[in-house]
Amino acid sequence: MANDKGSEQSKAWALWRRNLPIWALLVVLIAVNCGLAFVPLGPLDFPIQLSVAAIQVACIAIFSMGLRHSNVLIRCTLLYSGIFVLVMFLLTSADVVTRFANHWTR
Amino acid sequence: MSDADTLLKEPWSSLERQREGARFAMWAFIGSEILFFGALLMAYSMLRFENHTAFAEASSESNLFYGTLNTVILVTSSTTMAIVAQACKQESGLHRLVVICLAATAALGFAFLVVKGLEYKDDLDKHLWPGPDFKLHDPAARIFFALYWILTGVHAVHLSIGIGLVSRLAFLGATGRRKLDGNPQVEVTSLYWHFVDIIWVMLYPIIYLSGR
Repeated sequence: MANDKGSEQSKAWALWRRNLPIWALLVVLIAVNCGLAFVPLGPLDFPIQLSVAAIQVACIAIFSMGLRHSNVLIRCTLLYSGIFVLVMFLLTSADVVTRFANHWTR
Repeated sequence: MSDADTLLKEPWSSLERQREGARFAMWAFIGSEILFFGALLMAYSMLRFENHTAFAEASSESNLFYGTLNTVILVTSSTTMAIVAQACKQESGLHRLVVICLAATAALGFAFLVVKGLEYKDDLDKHLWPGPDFKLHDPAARIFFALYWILTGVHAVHLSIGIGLVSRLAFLGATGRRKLDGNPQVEVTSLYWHFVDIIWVMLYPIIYLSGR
């Protein structure tokens, strides 16, 4: 009985030890992103903030959602979504940027 | 009847295949949600490109304290949910820890909504609803706050659904009505919860940080 309880506790600790460093990393990245917002980085500030957020997203997807152990089918599903979002961004930004280019050259 | 038999549903021939099917279905759903939120974020990006100064000014009016607090709350809830999913996947027999972490996840989700409610009240007090008494003069600032209310509102709806799903599992686990170890519903709920967290992590810089 005592052994069972000890085994349960060690399993629980193993889970906490595995997940707490990821939580700490995510909280540090939130602090970094928040701090960067007050540093004058010019036009780079928004891309840098988005990059920090992308690192956080990758940490959650890989470690918490188990993407690193997922099969090919799931990776393909995500890839297709990503490709469609990319196409949507590319086509729309092509329209917006060319309209602005016309506006600037007038 | 074994534990696997009680969890097995029609039409699956084995629990492992049922788990694979449920996992794939949730990832396909997440894929469709990526397209949904992708379209909203694309609208934000293009409008920000056209109205950079007005968006920066409008963003600086958002409440950074509440936004940061909510990000920490959701990231913490993601950690407790990850522990639930990993404990159930390993069939570790950590029933008490699983139920406690499920309850903590739901409580943290609820705390997020409370903070969001306080933030909404603060926003309304500052006349940041894009209506007749809107605080900012630039018309493009209205667009920013229209997107702010839509994005955060849609996210709050998703989170409320997640709280319902997690609370259901906590209740079923605590009362012993459903076995949680090895249950595919736990992994599926966990994936949904992490996805809602990911959406907020992306919203945080575009709403709260871009105009500081």
